[in-house]
Amino acid sequence: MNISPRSHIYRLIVLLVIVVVGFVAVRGLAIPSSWDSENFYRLDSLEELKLQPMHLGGNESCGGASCHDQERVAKHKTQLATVGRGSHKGLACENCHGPLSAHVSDDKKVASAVIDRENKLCLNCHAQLVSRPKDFPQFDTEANGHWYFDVEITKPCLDCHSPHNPRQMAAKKDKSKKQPKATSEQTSTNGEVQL
Amino acid sequence: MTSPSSNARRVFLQKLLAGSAAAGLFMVYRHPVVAALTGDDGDKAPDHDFAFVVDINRCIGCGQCVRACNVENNVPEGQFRTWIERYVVTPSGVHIDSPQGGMNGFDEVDESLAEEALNTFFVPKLCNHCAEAPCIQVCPVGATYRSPEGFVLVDSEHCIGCSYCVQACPYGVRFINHEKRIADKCTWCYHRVSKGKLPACVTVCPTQARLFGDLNDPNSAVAKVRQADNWDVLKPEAHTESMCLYLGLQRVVV
Repeated sequence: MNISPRSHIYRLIVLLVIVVVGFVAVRGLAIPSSWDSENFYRLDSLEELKLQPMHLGGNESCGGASCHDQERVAKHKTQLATVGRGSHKGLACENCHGPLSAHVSDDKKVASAVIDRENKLCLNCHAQLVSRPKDFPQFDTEANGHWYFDVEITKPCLDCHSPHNPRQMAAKKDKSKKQPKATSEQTSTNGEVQL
Repeated sequence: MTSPSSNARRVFLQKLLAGSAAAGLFMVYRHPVVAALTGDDGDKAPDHDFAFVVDINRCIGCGQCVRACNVENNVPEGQFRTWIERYVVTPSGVHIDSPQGGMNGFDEVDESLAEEALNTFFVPKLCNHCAEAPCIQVCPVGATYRSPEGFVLVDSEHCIGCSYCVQACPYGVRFINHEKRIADKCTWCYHRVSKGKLPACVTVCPTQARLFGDLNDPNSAVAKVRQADNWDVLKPEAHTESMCLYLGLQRVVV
């Protein structure tokens, strides 16, 4: 049997083909299918990041078309209207009542919303700190009639203040219930976006 | 008269000219002007150009934003995608603290320090979503990128946790997530914004110290802030083209 005098060339060509095919195959497997070679990232990761579940619903998830603004839960509707009048109307409900995901799951209530009546919750924002803006209302034993009633920081804030409308004293609370329902919607005014 | 050599030179020069023209055309075919003429809108500007505004004059240091962020994004305990720093400027120096990222609010500073204070304020910090982000430049695997709408994001499937980006970020906003063992950072709540919601921290801020919106919408709060032109960015010397505009930022802030 004669061995071709060019067999070493053929062997080299076969080796080269294996190397090239191997490289192309490995490269194809290593690069994700949605790779954007111009901007150098995986386009699918954008869609994957959008799948992250939300925990905070924002005020629109409480009012609007949601539970707390429906006739069938008239009590809720009245309460929400009261909130809409108070000086705390610009706040997020979830600041004090906990995240939506702990209260509602799959459009069903899974647990009661948090109702925290401790001073700590109020003082989180309203304790007197030298670093806070001077025009922000901060607890002061000397101011706002606190001096008249000898109010100390340990006295429960909610004994006198309504949490949704703290400028309104709790003593007047009965009067507020007789007032007609307000129509003002409470919304977060931090800007609107739609992607 | 014509010798073979001079004829060859002429042919060579003609070919060189034609080749140069062809190469030149090839290089300009993706030029914006050419693209506009040929109707190629492949490089069209994206619909949105998001930006964030932090108003230091309004921040009360309540820590709602930090708590909301940690809940919304399941940030491991002790790590923060956003946090609040308290600056107390005194004649003897600047005191900065951020107990647990300001998550549970702040206790009053020592009485002696409060008396000495020339100036004191809170500074919320978060990812600046830089247009020229150093973290993207250093990522060796392309796991971090800037989306067309301006979100600097991490591809968790692709990240190898080398933490180059953690070192590259001039603002210290990146960290290696203890639980996932990959790079983590503020996403401006990309998952929320893509559903028409605001980032969690903006949603809960009681004093509107945090604003978020689209610069392409002239009526958005952020566009108005940018137009008013009294904003600053952190570390402008880093030339990161930060997209977090600070109002009331003092030079002492680092």
